[in-house]
Amino acid sequence: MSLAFFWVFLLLMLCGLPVMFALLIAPSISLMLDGQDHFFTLLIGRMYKGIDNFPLMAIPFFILAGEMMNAGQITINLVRLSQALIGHVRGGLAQVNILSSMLFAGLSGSAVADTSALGSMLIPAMEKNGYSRRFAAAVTAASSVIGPIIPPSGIMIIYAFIMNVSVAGLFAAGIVPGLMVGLGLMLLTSYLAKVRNYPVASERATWPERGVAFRRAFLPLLTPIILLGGILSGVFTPTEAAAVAAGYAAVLALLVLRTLRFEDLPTVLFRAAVSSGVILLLVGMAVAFAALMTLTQAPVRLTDFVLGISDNPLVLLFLVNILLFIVGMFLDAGPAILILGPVLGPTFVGLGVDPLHFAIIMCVNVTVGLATPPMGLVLFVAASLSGERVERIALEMLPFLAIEAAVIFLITFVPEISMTIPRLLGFA
Amino acid sequence: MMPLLDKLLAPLSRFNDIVEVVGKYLGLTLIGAMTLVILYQVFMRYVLNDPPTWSEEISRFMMVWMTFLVAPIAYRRGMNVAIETLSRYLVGRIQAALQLVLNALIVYFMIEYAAEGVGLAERGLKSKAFTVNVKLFWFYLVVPAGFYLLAAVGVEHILRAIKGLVDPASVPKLKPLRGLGAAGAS
Repeated sequence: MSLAFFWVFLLLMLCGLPVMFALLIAPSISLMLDGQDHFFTLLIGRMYKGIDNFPLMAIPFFILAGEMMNAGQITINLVRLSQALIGHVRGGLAQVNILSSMLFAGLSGSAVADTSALGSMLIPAMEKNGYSRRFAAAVTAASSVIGPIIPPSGIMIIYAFIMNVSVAGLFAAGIVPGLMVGLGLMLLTSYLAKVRNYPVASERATWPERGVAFRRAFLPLLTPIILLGGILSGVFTPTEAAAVAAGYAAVLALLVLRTLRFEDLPTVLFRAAVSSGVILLLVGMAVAFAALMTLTQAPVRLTDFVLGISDNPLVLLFLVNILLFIVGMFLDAGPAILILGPVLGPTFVGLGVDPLHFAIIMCVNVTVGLATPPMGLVLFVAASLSGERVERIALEMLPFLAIEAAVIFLITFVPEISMTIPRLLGFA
Repeated sequence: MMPLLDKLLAPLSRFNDIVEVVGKYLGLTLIGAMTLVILYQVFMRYVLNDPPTWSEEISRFMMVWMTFLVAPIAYRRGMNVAIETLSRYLVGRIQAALQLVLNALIVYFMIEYAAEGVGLAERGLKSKAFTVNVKLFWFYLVVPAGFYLLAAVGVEHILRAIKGLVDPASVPKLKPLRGLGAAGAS
């Protein structure tokens, strides 16, 4: 079988055929042209096996947990805690936005959920406080990408599944890079706040006030402890931990905080079912696509091609980051990983890059891609929440993106940043 | 031409409406049930030290069914991830023509895959699930069903595209369900 299907695939995607269909139809067309349509049986079999998988079930559970937390407005307590801690500094609400994203990142594995939960609350609040609307939207979008970098992370589960690396190890590798992105954004914001004289959000909170805010946020903040503690210590499988997170969020929202009504439960479940179904079917199609790529020996050919450019892993890692960044501009993180992971991963592992190190580079890079134009889901959500145009938010976001790009290169060339925790925990 | 198109479109559209409602309620029940099954597994394993044998297989079964049952909804409401950077600049008849070609491609292949799915289901008649006394046929059945339902949605999209070719102003767009899509995992 020829490599023609790759070009068919690109053409179909550029025409706007949904990625999920393109993944299956492109190789099918190529198989038909070669008179080998008996391989369709293999394609559908692989697709089924790709979906019918227990570790993958962590994805719907994390999505459900995220939907529960959003509908139950669990985020509000985290924002109040952030405000009590740092609301009094110059540029207070912008800093609160970033800190809330970091806290929320430990509960949710989705940047888009992060943007919509925090943005709907903080963008109007920041505007009222005297920030420009596009700056408010830009801070929200830029800090939301921390969501899938600090564990848990839907994107990392997808990578771990398709590339067969340890979810727990990848989660552990994400902690420090996620904190770095957050602190980097906060430093930049404090500089901008001084230059542009941004307002403070509130008086400095007293310690008793901080105590109250912390008590209100305590139960939601237990989520990351149960989740990460359970997964990293090996007590729970990631799937079980995700189910527990969903159950815990449901109990919190329905029974403890009573911020979610029982009659709203079907809507929450349905939203989670559709989001999950879309991504799971995409995963199934990508597994079938990858099976055919192996048949064509595409990864081997790609490795030869890449080695023709250079055989220095550092040069190639630099180039692959540029490639991923460009891909991230046009493609959502999940599909980018599903399509490129199986192609790029083996090449770099063959060059001596640690599988977990390459995994974290790729996950962080495509996650930042969620906030880059022209196609950035996080950017779209921020635009629709703020009513500001995508281009203007993107322009305002450039300095933040520069910080994020700097973190990507730092974790690429200083493996110790991401790899120390996984090594200490015995994952690498 | 238009009255004929409307005559074809109306019943198909009604059929797909029903598929959506059924898919919605089955899908939301399945994701809820999956969660409960795994929570039960966790409870039995860590508290009672007696993990059930069937829970993983049953919950996987539920996940596959959920995936294929909500697929027609996502396709119908345009919630699948696509690169629309180029195609959104096309308007009117050109856009309709592109949609016609893409959806025709989808319908053709969905029917091909559905036939493969029938084969899969037939093979499932011969074997049983590992932990429960159920033929794998019931696990696989949703694959051909899902592909046929996707094809039905594709035909609806084609009819709408043809209407758009005849008169670009005549096609009311199907509303996307707000804030839903593949975004969940990212």
